[in-house]
Amino acid sequence: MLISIRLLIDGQKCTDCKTCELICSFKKASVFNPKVSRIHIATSYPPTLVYPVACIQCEEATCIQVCPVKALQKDEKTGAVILDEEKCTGCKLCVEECPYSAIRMNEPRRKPLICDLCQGSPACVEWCPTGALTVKKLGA
Amino acid sequence: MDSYQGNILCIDLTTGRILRQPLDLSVARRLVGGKGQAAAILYKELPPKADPLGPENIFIFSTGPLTGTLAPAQKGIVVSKSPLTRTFCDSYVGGYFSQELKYAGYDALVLTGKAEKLSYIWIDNEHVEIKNASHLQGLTITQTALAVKKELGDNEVKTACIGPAGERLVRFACVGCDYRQAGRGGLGAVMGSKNLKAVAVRGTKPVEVANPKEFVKAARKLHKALVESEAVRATWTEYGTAGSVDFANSEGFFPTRNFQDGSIRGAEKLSGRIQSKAVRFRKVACFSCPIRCGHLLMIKKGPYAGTVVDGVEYETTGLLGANCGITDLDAVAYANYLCDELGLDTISTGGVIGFFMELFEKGILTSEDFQGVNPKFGNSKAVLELVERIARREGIGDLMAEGVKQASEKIGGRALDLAVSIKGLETPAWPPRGAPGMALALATADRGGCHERGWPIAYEVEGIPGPSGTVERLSLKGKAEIVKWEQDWLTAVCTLPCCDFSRTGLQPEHYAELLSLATGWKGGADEFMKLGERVWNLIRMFNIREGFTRKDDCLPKRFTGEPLPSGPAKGHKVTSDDMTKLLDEYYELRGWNREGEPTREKLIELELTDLVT
Ligand code: SF4
Ligand code: SF4
Repeated sequence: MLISIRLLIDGQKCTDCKTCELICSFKKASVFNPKVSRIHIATSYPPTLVYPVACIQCEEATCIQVCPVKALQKDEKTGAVILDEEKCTGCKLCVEECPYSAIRMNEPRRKPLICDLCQGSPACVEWCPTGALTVKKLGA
Repeated sequence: MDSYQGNILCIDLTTGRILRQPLDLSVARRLVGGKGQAAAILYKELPPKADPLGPENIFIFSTGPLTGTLAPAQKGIVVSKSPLTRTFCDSYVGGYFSQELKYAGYDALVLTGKAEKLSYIWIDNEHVEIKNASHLQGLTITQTALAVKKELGDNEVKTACIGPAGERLVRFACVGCDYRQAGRGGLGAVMGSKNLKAVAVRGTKPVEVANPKEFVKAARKLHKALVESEAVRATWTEYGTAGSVDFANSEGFFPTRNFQDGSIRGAEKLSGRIQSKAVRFRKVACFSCPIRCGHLLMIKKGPYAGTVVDGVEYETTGLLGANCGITDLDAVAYANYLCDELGLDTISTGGVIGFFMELFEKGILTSEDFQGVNPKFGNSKAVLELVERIARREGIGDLMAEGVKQASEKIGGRALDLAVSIKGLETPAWPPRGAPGMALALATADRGGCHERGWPIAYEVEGIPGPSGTVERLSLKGKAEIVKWEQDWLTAVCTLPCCDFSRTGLQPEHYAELLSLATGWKGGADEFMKLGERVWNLIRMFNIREGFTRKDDCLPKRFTGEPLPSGPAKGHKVTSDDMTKLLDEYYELRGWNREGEPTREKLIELELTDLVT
């Protein structure tokens, strides 16, 4: 049975505390630094606009289509886009072509940062103190 | 592996020399980081009695072992010798600058000297560069931050900037870090004296902890406890610090007309309740903070409509509001905005303006002195105009820019009796006539009379039990013990450095645990309190070396001589006799002699002897 989920984002609630970025960087890279997080808080300065940005899991994913080495594919279980780091050459095409600007580069490693929905229970949602991040379960 | 980066970045702005020094592990073990680390640097490197605005003064951005991790409620800290108080001064700030500095690979940034012309520093991991800032001269803090981001081609660069007030060496100029301010003690003027307009940082390095799995588990527990705490919600989250306006006004703590009174009619117009309806735009938080006490406001109507400002914090409602006789929220919010942009501490600015308004009221200064401004209590236009004049040191603003203490000494005579400051720091919005413990906390605070080094009002008025049970509000009994306990605890929290507001919900053992899991530091709650005591004593030694003695641990005449005119503690004051008793008891508890100097035994017990010789 395929239970896929979507990240629901309410930008008005987000306080830009970066807790989600920190837990993401810890879970995925075992270190703390928002720069290697797969969710990213986009802000204006002064911070009148604050919006958490992460992969919205397009049905027809541009990133998958543009990747010249087929390093991106959809996870069968969760439907999330996942990256095969071995195959990835760090060419940045996915970063440039994502219509939602959801992909950033892990600069030190030169690999794209794409949310994989944590196998169905995203850590950022668990840690977000404001309710800005929630999940929605999609049908079977 | 621990959560330090192991490097201190030192820049001499006179010579342009850039040095990377290894973190001193014996200092880190004893003083941990943040406030403690900076105190050790200042004690060791700063020549005694140095001019705070001279090139020899040292300006430090000090991170700590929890900076950049998932520890809840993190603060940045800026330390220097204050041009306002001439004491050690540590000023705290939200935002992301401090974390970014750590991600760039540094536990601290230590600045000395003076650049030949206005400059800014650009730190991109290992790349460190001193750049020309002549074109940024006179810009406000937001204008500076935006210009620097643009020039460096990265919107996400984190910045610490000064505004025109810092450039003109106003003695209570702030440092604007991202969209928050390190307000107290005039450290923006220290940056200005070094010809340093801004520091910009980008860091892509990891921060790691000693025991990652357990650390994240413990951090999760604390985040959860803070999110779920009803006390946190009611005290901080819902209305922010301005939630205290109603309490302070009804208990006689709301500074009114230069602290003449403790309440003002119409105070509720400044309250968090009203703010949240009238002007709140969105909620904001510091780094990794689930408490989220901050608010971004937008003024919706009137001449200042459209202005966006972070605030209005309780302290600002008290000082730029009631202390100047003003309860018009839009005007106070706009004054707050001007201070943030021009680069002034809102507390000191409100203290100074209130003082000058009283000088005018009492006829000590006249219309002529104010050139076209009518500085009557309650005139918000006058407040806004005076804020601008202070920031630019224009006309009377030049004298005001010296702060209450130095201005009162220049004016002399009766002005000295009306000056409300403690060790030169303008008194915050917790005047102590109705709470003797608060009086002692203000008189003994390390950076001058400050409410964040201890807040006994929680025990005296709110009835929270202290280390030896509950205390009576107006009695002296048990107050010294509470003050010592608060100071040690909060000082330890400042070595991490985390926010003193997390006291609602977290206890010393919680932070001790996080510190252990991040660094391998050994100890529980007792050792954590000892850490605070150690740092507190080191700073006391610094201030003693600067010439401070028992006679400086005192209150202004307003609080010792004039009874409070209204509220539940009406008729009360904290007499000089009370102060003598409180100080005697406090010094004894601290293991200090009658002059307030740490004894040799105390220094040995705290393992400080090698640091203070
Ligand atoms: S944890 Fe939640 S509130 Fe904090 S930055 Fe992330 S989305 Fe925003
Ligand atoms: S409680 Fe408020 S001031 Fe303290 S860290 Fe959290 S948001 Fe910042």
